[in-house]
Amino acid sequence: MTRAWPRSTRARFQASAVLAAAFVVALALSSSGPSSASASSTVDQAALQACIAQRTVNCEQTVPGLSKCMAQRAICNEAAYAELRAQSGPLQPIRTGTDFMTREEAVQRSLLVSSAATASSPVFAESMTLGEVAKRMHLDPAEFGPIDLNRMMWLVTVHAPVMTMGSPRRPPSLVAAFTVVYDAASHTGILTCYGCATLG
Amino acid sequence: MKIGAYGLRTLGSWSGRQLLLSLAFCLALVSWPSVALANTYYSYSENTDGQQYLGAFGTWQNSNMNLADYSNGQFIASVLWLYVQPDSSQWVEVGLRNSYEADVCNCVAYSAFWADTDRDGAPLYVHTIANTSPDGSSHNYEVQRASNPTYWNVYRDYNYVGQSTIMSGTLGYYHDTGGEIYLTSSLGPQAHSNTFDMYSESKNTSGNWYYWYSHVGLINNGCGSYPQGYCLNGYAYYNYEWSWNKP
Repeated sequence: MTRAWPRSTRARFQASAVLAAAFVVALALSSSGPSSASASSTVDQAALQACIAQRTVNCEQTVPGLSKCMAQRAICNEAAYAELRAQSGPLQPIRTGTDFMTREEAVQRSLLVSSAATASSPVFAESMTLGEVAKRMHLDPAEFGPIDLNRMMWLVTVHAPVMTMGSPRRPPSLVAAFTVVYDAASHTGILTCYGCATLG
Repeated sequence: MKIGAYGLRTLGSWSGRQLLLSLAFCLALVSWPSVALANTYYSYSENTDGQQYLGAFGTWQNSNMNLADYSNGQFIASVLWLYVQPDSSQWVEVGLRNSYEADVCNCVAYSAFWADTDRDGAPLYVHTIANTSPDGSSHNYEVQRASNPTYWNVYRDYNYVGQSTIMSGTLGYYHDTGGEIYLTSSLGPQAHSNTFDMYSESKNTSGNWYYWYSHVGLINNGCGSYPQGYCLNGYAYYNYEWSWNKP
């Protein structure tokens, strides 16, 4: 879908040119090392895989060390973590020559989250590290699990109505704004908050 | 409680900018009368043993599930929910969903995710875990109370994927598991799911995991009024196994 950018949005883009340049520098300096999760050698991986092969049982009470490993929030199932890392862009290292997400892409994709968002909807976008995102959203960094807090993100808030998901015990509801966090290197959204007006 | 979310603010404390944004919201509602008002359809099972919980665990396969139309945020999902307030106002959920994810990848994505809310689902924080595929592989999903009793760790395949830190609840009161279809229209043949066999265990306050030994199965939103084949199905082979699909 192609959207015409309103004059005010274009102006915001121009005004952020300096910030964008700083963003590129920050991206180059951001960590490309392993994620903050650490591997554990305390779990017998063969025993764990044998337990998992039973398919339905929770292995925490039968595989020695697994429960403790999980409490430490370490990598307890190495095979599964390798698969997870392959399927999760924010867990992959940043390679030289990476095509980072632009502000325009972050804004345009965010506008697509709600059918009620239009090119004239108030949109605010800033680049920052994931650690800074956590601060701005008043979230504990642990919310983001094994993702490196030094990775660069786009934080985008759209002030447009959107429906929440609800649950079997609570119906969906309409909220006035939403905020999306994108990992700039992988172009992947890692968090969408329905009802958060973090920016603006 | 998270700050920065739309919540219990008094009008008198709003800045001029906030008032303008609120006005824009009202105008958007007026000019977009069809703002994706959703119908949700569930086929799920609930643990009815009356205990309180320190954790919720489920195993199920990456079965195929799809919609003909993914516009307006419509999705189909297979998840577990753990509610940590007696009035169900705070919960963590984790599982799979298939939807158009403009935010995640700007594509229709079959993804693992987890979400939490401290206020009736608004705000609702939805975290992407992985972009996966309906390859039939089995995975397990778990929510377990952390050392800080108001924090809840989230795991997939025994690996930590995130921590819910926004809720005040220290015990789980309801543990549900099953399928969810979120549509802006009535349920019909546009939604389809192969069978998910979902095995559930809860963790009691003594710290022991156990298979459910009692349950109630629920298929809501008046499926009986739809022609045969349009409804969600659900069947419990055991108290701890809920199988659901959508023809």
